[in-house]
Amino acid sequence: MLVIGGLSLASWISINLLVMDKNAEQLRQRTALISDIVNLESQAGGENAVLARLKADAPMRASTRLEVWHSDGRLFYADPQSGTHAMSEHTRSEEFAVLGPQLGGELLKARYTMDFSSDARMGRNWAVVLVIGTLAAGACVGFGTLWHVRRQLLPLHDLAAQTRAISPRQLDQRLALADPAEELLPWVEQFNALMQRLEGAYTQLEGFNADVAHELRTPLTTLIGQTELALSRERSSGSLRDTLASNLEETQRLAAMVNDMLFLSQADRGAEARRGAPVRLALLARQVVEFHEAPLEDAGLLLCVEGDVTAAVDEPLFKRAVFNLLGNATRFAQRGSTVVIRIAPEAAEQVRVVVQNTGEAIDAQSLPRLFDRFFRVDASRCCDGLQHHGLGMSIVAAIARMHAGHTLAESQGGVTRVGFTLATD
Amino acid sequence: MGALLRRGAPASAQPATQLRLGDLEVDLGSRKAQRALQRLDLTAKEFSLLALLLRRRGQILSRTVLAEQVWDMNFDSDTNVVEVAVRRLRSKLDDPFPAKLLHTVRGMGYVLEDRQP
Repeated sequence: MLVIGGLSLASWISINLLVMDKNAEQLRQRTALISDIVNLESQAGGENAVLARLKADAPMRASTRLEVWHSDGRLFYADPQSGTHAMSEHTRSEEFAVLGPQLGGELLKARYTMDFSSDARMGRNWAVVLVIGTLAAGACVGFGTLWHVRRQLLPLHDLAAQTRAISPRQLDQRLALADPAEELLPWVEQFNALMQRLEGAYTQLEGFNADVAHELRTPLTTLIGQTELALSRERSSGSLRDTLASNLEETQRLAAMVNDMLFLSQADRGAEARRGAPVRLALLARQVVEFHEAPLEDAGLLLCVEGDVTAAVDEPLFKRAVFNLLGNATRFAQRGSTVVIRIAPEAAEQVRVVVQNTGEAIDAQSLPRLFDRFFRVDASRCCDGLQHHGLGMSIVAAIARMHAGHTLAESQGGVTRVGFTLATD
Repeated sequence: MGALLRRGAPASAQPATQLRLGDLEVDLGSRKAQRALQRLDLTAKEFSLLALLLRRRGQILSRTVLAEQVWDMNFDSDTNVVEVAVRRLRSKLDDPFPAKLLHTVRGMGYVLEDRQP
C-alpha cells in the first residue's frame, strides 16, 4: 500500500514537472513569435501596422493575454480583459522586450500571460485518478492477502477437527494433512509423536490393570477353594491349622504384591528418595550380596563387587534395587559363572550401578520391556520354587526415577548387563 | 547388633557369651558353634542367624524380622531369600543329627527350640 502510494505520488510529481516544462517551452515559443511579428510589422508599416496586426491576431491568442507598453510606461496595446482573454488564477507570464525599428528605435516592454487552467485541471484529475487507483490497489492487496491467509490456515481448522475426534478409545488415530504444508509439518509430527507416547503409556496402564486382575485372581481362587474345602466337613484342628497357615501364606503374597503396587504408584506420583548421609555404595552392595549369599551358593555362582562411589542415597531403596537386580541375575546366570556388580561414576553427577551375569542372552525385543510391570522374560525359566511376581524390575526403575536416574539394559554374546543410574546430589 | 545381643540374652546362669540349647553350643565371643561336640562350619551370616534364633529361642521370628536384624535389609523384600538361608543353615545344623532344633512355622516364620520330650 505504502509502495503503491509512493509510486503514485512520484508519477504525479513527474507528470506535473513535465507539464510545467512543456508550458514554459510553449510560453517561450509564443513570446519569440510575438517578438518576430512586432519586429516585422514595425519595419513594414510602423506603429499603426503593429497595432492593427496585434488586434487582428487577438482571436488567435485565446486563453492568453498580451500587454505591451512604451518604454516610458504608457500602454501601447493590451488584449481585452474579458471574453477569451479572461484569466483564471492558473497563469504563467513572461515579460520581454521588443525592438520596434520604425517606432523611433523604442524598446517596447511586453508581457505575455498564458492561462494553464486546463493543465491544472488535468493535474487535479490525475491526482484523483492516482489516489483512487492507489486505494483500489491497496484494497485488492488487502483482500487478496486476507483470502490467501484464510486459505493457508484452512488446514488448521481441519487439524482442530481431527484433534477433537481423538478419544481414549481411539488413541491410535494420528493427525494427517490433506496437502502437506511445510510450516505445519513439524507441529503435526510432534503432535503425532506425543500421541504415540500417550498411546504407549495408556496401553501399558490398561495392560497393567489387566495384569493386576490376573495376578490377584489366582491367589484369591486358591484362598476361596482351600477355605471352602476346609469348611465342607468336620476337620481336625491340625488340618484346619494347616489350611489357615496356607491361607496366611497366600494372603502374605497378596499383601506383598499390593505393597509393591502401592510403592510403584507412589513413585509414579513423583515421590522422591529420602537421601541420607553420603555412604560408600560398594558397602551397601556388599550387604545385599551377603543377604543374597544363600541363593547365590544354591545357584553355584561367584560374585564380585567392582568399583565404588560415595553418594547420598536412600539406603533401603538402593539396597532394594540392587537386591532385585541380583535376584534377576541369579535367576538367569549360568551355573559356575561370576555375577559382577559394577559401581562407577558417570558424567554429570551420576552413578551407574550395573549387575552383569553370564548366561542365556535376553533377546533384543524383550530388553526394552524388561522394566515393564509384570513383564517376565520367559515364564518357563523362572519360579524354581522362588515366588516372583514380576514387579521387581519395575521397582528398580521406580527407585532409579526417585533418584533422578534411569535404567539401562544390554545383552550381548551371553553377557547381560542390567542396571540403573542415580543422580549423586 | 550389640544392643540386640544384650536384649535377646536369656536370663540364665551361663556366661553371656555362651549359649546352649540341647546339644547345641554357641560361643558368641569366638563366633564358634558346635553340636554334639562337632564343630559346625557356618558362614558369618549363618552364625548371626543362628545366634539371633538362639537368643530368642522359643519365639517365632518372621522372615522380615530376620532380614532386618541379621542382614540389615529393612525393606519389604522377596523374603524367599531368608527361606533359602534358613534351609542352608538347617542343612548344617539339623540334617546330620536326629534331633531337630530349627522349625518352620508355616506362614509365620522360624523358631529354634528343643522339642525333645
